[in-house]
Formats: sequence, C-alpha cells, structure tokens
Amino acid sequence: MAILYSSDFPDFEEIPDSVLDEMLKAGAEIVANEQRKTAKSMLGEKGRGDGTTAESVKVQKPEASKRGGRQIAITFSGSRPNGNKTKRNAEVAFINEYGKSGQPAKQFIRIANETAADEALGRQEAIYDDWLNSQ
Amino acid sequence: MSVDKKIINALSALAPVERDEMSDLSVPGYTFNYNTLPMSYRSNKPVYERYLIQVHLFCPVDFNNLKLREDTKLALFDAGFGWADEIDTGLEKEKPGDVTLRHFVYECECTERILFER
Repeated sequence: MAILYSSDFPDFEEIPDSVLDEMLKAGAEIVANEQRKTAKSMLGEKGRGDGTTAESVKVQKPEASKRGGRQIAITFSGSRPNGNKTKRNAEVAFINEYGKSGQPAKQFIRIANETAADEALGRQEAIYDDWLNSQ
Repeated sequence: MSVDKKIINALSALAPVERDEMSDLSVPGYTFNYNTLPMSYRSNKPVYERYLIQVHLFCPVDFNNLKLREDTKLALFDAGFGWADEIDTGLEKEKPGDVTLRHFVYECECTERILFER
C-alpha cells in the first residue's frame, strides 16, 4: 500500500479539503496507472493469475491523516485462488516487490512511483494553481 | 567501476554477496538487484542513468543482526550510494531444508554517467 500525504504545513491549512482531495486523487490515479503498467510488463503473470496484480491496484478514498492534512492510499485489493485456499493480492505484490532468498525481487512498485512522480506532481500543481487563481 | 562491483566491494567485508539468489542459507548473506531509469537527455540520448538498487540481507533467525544492519547502511553510504531505506520484510520460510530466515531490504540509489561508444 502506498500512501500519499498532503502537507501539514500551516499555509496548507487554508486549502479546502475538497481541493486537497482533488490533488491527491489526481496524483494517486497517475501513480496507480503506472503501477498497473509495470505490474503487467515486469511480473509476467501467467495462466490463471494473468494480470491479476495489475487489475487489483485500487485508489482508495481520501481521508484525514493522523499526521494532520489529508491522505490517500493505493492498495492491491482482493485475493486470488491458491490451491484450495486463497492468497491476498497484496501479499503477492509484496513478495514480487521485495523478493525472497530464492526469488529475486522485481521492484515494480518503486519503478512505477519514481516514473510517475513528475507527472503526478505536475498535475497536482495545476490543480493547486487553478484554486489559487480562483481566489 | 560498475555498480555491481561497487556493491560487492562495499558489502563483501561484512558477509558473502551474490547477485540474485542465496546459495548458503546457514550464514548471513546479501543478494542485490537494480533497475535503471534514464535521465538528463541530450541529442535524444540520456546522459545519466539513475540506479534504483535493492540490497537484501538474509539472516538466520537466531543471529543477532543489529550490528550488521547498521554496518550495511554505513557501508553502502561510504561506497557513494544514497543513505538506504531499511525495510524489515519479516520471517520467511524457505523450501530447501525448511530454513526460516529474516529478510531485510535496503533501498538506495546512485547516478552513473552513460559512456556511449563513439
């Protein structure tokens, strides 16, 4: 799960929650889309699990952060069949991202976050600018 | 010097280092992997590459890992990498011999100039 925070600097307290939420949602959607892309290109899931990790990437609703300000989470939701049991998609994503001693890591989340960072920031700045100009 | 060599040189004094998978699970050891992102374009070619590096430390469960974890971050930093984030992924049970290991991930970065052949 990745969590994007809005800043808790005093100046940001003047920004309405609706604007912060719009900024967070816009940034999170860009990051989530990139995570879907890297999940498809890097994980190479075959058979029944084909594309399951990519499809499980979900942007949650913005909420109040314990640190102050607002936050939004990007999660790998749901689970998939695993023999007679089920396995959480978040667990599969975690093991892919960090690997195990017999399974090299494929850091698809980190690559996606770094690749999407500039575009997400640009989109968030544009929303902030729009709000400033409307004052 | 290649990034692989820099990582191996930095850590091999602390514990054995292997590229992708551990061969000896009975002692602490490192593996590493990285991905690169191009940056600073000139004439449609990137001039630098940003290396997103993961170093993995696997320890037997009964091994006191506190000193080795500190030394790992310091060794990477001294070798010129950014200060590493440490992620404790917890205990992992490995199939060969059902060995349980503790797994720590160190995420750090470096930037290298790309040398194109002319």
